[in-house]
Order: sequence, then C-alpha cells, then structure tokens
Amino acid sequence: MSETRVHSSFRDPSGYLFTRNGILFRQVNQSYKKAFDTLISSGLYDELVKQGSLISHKEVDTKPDNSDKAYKIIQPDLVPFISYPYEWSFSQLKDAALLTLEINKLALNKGMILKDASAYNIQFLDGKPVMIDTLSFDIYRKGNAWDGYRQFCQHFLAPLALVSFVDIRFMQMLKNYIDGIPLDLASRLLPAKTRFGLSGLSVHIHLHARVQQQFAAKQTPQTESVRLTKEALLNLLDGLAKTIQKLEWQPKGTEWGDYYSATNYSDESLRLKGEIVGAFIERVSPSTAWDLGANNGLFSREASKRGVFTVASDIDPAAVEKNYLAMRSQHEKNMLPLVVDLTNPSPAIGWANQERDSFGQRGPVDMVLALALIHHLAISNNLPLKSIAKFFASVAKWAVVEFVPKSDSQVKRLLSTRKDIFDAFTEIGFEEAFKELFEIVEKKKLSGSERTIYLLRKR
Amino acid sequence: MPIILFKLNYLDPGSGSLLIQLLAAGLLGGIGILLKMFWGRIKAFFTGQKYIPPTVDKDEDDQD
Repeated sequence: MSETRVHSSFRDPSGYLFTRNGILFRQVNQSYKKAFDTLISSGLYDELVKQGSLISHKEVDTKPDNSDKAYKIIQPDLVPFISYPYEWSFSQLKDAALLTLEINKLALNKGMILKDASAYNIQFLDGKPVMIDTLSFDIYRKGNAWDGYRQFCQHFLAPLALVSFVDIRFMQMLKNYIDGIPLDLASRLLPAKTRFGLSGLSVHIHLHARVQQQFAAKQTPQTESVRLTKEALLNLLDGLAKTIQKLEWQPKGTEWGDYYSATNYSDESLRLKGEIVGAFIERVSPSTAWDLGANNGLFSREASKRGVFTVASDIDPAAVEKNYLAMRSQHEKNMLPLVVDLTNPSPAIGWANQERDSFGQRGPVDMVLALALIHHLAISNNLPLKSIAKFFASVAKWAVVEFVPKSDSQVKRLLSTRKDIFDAFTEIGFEEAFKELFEIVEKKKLSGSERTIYLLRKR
Repeated sequence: MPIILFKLNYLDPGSGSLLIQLLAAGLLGGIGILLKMFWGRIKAFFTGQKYIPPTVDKDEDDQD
C-alpha cells in the first residue's frame, strides 16, 4: 500500500511525515543524513529523549516510495492528541517556549542548533511539553546565528507578551496568523512601558519590528562579516528565557474561573456526580474521551484517573490554565487541558485548509462527557437539541450527558434576562431530540438536585 | 553595515532579525560583540588608516 503524505509536512526539505496502513512514519532525506547522524552520535537524541523533551522514534525497514531521496525511515512515538498553540492556556505556551530555548541550549552544547522555532513542533504529553520534530536539528557551525530567532519571537514571545500586558484573548490571534503574530502588530498593541530601556521586549519586539521594516525592501549585501560566537548565542537564549519567565498571567476575572467555588454545588453533590460519571466510564471502559465544557477538569479526572486519555476542553482560559497548572504540579497523566469554544471550535487552517485540522477532525473518540453543558449551548447559544445530538454523534460512540432543567438555579439565571423561547427544553424534549441518534442505556437522577445524567450509546 | 555569517536554510531568518539577534546577544553578554563589530573602524579612525573589512572564513565545517 502506498504512502499518504501528512498535509502539514511540506516546509522543511529534510524529510516529511507520511502514513501507511494507518501508521505514522517520517522519511529522513539524504540531504539531512549528516545532521541526523550527528543528532544520534552526539548523544543529543538520547539526552533529550531521556528527559522527555523530544519524542522518541525507532528506525524501521519500511521501503519508502521515493527511495532515491530517502536516507532512513523512522517511526516516531505518537502523542495521543495533536493540539495547537491557539488552544493552549498561557502557561502551556510559556512552557513550550521555555522548552524550545532549553532544547536549543542543549543542542548547542552538542554541536547542533535548532533550525526553526515553530510552536507547532511542540505537543503535550502527560502535562509536559515535548518536541515532536526530530528533523529540526542542524549542525552548528562556528559563527552561525539562530535562523529560528524571528519565528521564536512571532510564535512565542509576541503572544505571551500580549497576554501578559494586554489581554488573554490575544491567544486566539494565533488562529489568524499561522506563522505567529507579526512583530510590528505586537509592537503597536503592547503598552508604551514595554518600549523603555534595554528590556527584553523593547529589543526582541519593538526594536526588532522597526529594524525588520527598515530591511524589508532591501537586499543586504554580504560584503562584511561578523561572527556570532557560541557564547553570545547562549547569552541570547538566556536573555530570551529570562524575558519569557518574567511574563505572567493570573487566571482570574473570567466567566468560569471560579465556577465550582462560586456556585451552589455542595461537596456532596459534586462527589455523587463524580461517582455516577465514574460508574458510567467503568461500564463502557473507553480508551479515549473528550470532556466538553470541562472547566478545571474536575470530572475529566474521573476518566483520566481510570487510564482513559481525556481532552479536557473549555471555553474559559482561566479554568484551563488552572487545570494545566494543577496537572503539572501533581504530575497527572492521561489528560490534556485545552481552550476550545464549542460554539466556534478551532477551524482547519493553513494551506488549502489542510495544515492544521479542525477540532472535530481530530476525533472521533470513544466517549464524550457533556456535564452541565447543554443548557449553555441550547439556551445561551439557541442551539436546537437535535443539532447538539448530531454533533455528539459525529465525534463519539458514547456520550455521558447531564440534563439540567429550567427549574435549576443555573438555568433560571440564564433565562432571567431573556425571553423563554425554549418550550422543548425539558427532560422529555431532551430524550426526544437524542433518541434518533442515541439510545438511552442508563439514566440517573443526581440526588439533591433536579438534574439527570444519561449514558447514551450511538445507534 | 556588518552582517552575521549565516548558512542559507529553509527558513528565511530575515536580515533585520539577524541584526537584532546580534544586538541582543551583545547587550546581554556585555558590549564585547559591538566592540568587535566596530573595533576595526574605531582603530582605523584613530590611526588614520583605511578600514579593511575582515574576510569571511571559508571553512564551513569547523566547530567549536
């Protein structure tokens, strides 16, 4: 069977990703032979893999389609879910930035250098960032600058600075700019105080943007040469790391950041809800799940602690940030917190709309969890219940859905400022809307409330 | 204008970005690099001799 090239793998001529019989391989081209051999022989590969900074791979005997170009075929380990920078919380992007710099530093000490600095080369595995592009390493030659410097500023520094100094919603701008935030735009948006002195941002963003504009139309003659020493390059990396480390964002002041502590959920009803969800998960024993509207991942953990890989997505960046920080500090596994607005999920972007997949394209999974979610979709966003059922059926075989009736205080709050046009928003209406695509396997009342939790199987 | 030596790669590093990189590396590591950049010119100014730019080494593969 012939190979299918991965759509996003076309920029770097060192090799490319392809799938054959559903297995992902990476071809290493002859032109990259020397760099690839150095990555292995210098011990850099072993060191990075050992500390969990680089995805490991094995060399395989698979015959490539274009064998004249191929040097080797490798089979990389897989991350369970490919996520993109515009879906990360602030600290996820920050950790990815720091990892990129750290890897580059280690590479320099082994006679290599990163040739790019794409945020898309970083993924998350068990709460930690990991580099997935084995072909990003080049042989370091004395005097070389870092070709990825501009990309680093666009993919990491600019969005982190904008979030830290202006607004968390700038993370979403990365959807529009697939190669990172243009530095002249970041420079215009950042407050004046970031321009002063010789601070990291004044140099790496503001001055950088100005000099870029100066040089934009010029072909610079290479008549003279100054070499950048390795020490200077390491200084640059340290400087960037210090600048990044200083950027901070406090997860508060958003809609859902304090949801569980601000609502009238009692500890007892939260515990009961966890038990029901846990029992449903054990009954189905899925291997993958999406918890949609996961908030800080309280119920995602019912799945992840049972070894189910769970994407815990939520619209609220503060909730996702808290989830990621908790996961990181507790060294939790099997979960990936992401910022996703379900009413407008990540689209497919890039060349031919095929470089980065939409959120839905990265499914299906075995189970979706939609706890205290559908009243927000149905009432706040006017979505018909049938449309919600159709979406769930397109992404999962099983669904655990909590139905919250109009008599519930949370739904009353949603309806308090608008006309109630939702006659069908009842338990019966819900079952009617879902029965075409799902069968009700089990339903349980959440005692102490008027809420019901359903276990649904796709027909 | 001095230019950093670089090997052409698949990613265009950008002339402006290279210059800032040089500046940033110099600022953070002291003014050594800037001095190095302009030392030839400074010396030429005081000694009244013509400034001759340094030549680029051709050895591609030398490593530190």
